[in-house]
Amino acid sequence: MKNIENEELKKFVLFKKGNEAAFEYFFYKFYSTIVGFCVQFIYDENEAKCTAQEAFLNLWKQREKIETVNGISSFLYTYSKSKCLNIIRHKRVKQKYTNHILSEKEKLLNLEILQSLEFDSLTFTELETLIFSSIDELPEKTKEIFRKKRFENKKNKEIADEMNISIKTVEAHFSSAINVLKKKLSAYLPAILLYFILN
Amino acid sequence: MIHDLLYKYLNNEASEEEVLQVFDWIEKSDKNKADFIQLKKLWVLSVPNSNAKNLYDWNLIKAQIPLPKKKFYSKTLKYVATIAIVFASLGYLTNVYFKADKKESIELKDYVVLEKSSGKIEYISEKSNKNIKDSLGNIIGKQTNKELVYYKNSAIKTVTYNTIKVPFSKTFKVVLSDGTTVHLNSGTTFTYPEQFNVANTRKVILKGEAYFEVFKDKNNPFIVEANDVNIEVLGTTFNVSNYEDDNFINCVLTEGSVRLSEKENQENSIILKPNDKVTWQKNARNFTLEQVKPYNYAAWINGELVFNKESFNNIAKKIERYYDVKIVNKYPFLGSQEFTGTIKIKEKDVETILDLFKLDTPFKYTKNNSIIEIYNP
Repeated sequence: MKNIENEELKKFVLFKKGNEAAFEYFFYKFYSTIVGFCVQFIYDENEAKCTAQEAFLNLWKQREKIETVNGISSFLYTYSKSKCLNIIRHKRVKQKYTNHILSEKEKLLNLEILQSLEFDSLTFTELETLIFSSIDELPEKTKEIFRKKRFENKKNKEIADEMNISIKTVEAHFSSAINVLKKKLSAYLPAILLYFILN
Repeated sequence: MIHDLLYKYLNNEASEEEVLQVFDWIEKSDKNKADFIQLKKLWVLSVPNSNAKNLYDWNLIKAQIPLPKKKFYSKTLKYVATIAIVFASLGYLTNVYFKADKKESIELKDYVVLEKSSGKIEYISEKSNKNIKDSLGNIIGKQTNKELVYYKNSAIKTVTYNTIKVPFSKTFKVVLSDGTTVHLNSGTTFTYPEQFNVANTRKVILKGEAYFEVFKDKNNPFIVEANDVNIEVLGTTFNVSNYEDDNFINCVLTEGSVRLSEKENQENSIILKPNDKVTWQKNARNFTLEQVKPYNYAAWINGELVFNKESFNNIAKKIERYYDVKIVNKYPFLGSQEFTGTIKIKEKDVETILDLFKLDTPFKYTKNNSIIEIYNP
């Protein structure tokens, strides 16, 4: 574990000096996470990708101002947050519902959530680290199934077909993932989220 | 059960009816709302990293950042001192340019933008004539009005990429260092090497629409990367349309021969003959072929918009790009009506064009700045 951290610190120093391979390392580490973050607010994968790419380009341009390894994800999230706010405010999110009032409500709620997200605070870093390390520590196959189910909206059947395993196996992996996360995160989560993870 | 609904909603799987129920629940109490906000915050921050390598997306980024210094060091020793100085000043320049970029981005959004491999950004004024230099100060090309011509310099062996961004309502033309001419349509981003490295294939990246006249060079195939599709050519003339907001990519061949293949599955490919139009459906991931009049698809380079039995909704997308407006059509009947005709874009404003459509299918519209709303008559 210590070794990995040292490696990352070395990469961070190289990244600050303008080393492209180090930048590539951080790109692969955070890209899909940032795309996933944006999708949840602007509901368009292409737009989310553009936003994430912009965030990384700006990270590169302003790398001299980044002070710590954690500063990288703070920068990426902060940039994406303000970009998502802009996109929502300028009505560039495509209309999802026929009910305009509902669209408006969703928009206001998303604005409120985005505005309340703070990325430079210690809490964020701690919680983020906890969530990421918890997911990262899942066995490879379990992690893959968890990701497919939660973030690619795939049904158990689709995952089973894709990975050439039975539906029962998929269910077993998913519930074991949920149990691990529940244990690790219980101190941080509100009751409702626990309930939701359990189901 | 509300928890199942919340789960479905956050997964973007809920129907409109179910989303309504979710919002009813959120509005029931402040506690519910606070819980939901907390829940969604955790949800959006806990996206696990995907195992898939986003190689294509990384290449897009890579094409826009300066090359690593290492490559320059491999040159002969006598250049080292000069290069060190250039790099020192380059950092300074880059900073200055980005500051300028931030401050003036609103006024400058109507300009054609040239992004150099050094990270330097130049705004191109259609009225100016100027030389284009590489990061070492060598003259590598010349810009005259709406045209940028690169010179061939076989002494340069490293491949560095430049990107041209053409805003809505503008078009631009670039002649690459190998002699290939590329007409760029409105709202297009085009990435290409400053100099084509002799040893490599000629590779460019297109988002938007372009008409290519590729210089013949049998030994160095020319490849256009259009998202999921690669277009490989030897020397030929064709049009490619690859806009983000369209659900298709299409390619129309005027002369010669080209091969299209799916980027991730090279065996899924198709060879075009002149007058062929091939369409890649982004969702179905397959190619379909039909015979067309190529001129209709290349007419935009002469400032004409030609359409043949095309729906109003499709035509509206093109009008949006050419006039940099947003069209909100609240009259579904009009959207599905098909039209055939030719419009000279440069000679008419957007109101005149809409009035033309009104002659066939009456409707009402309002224009507020750049937003046009269309209503039932």
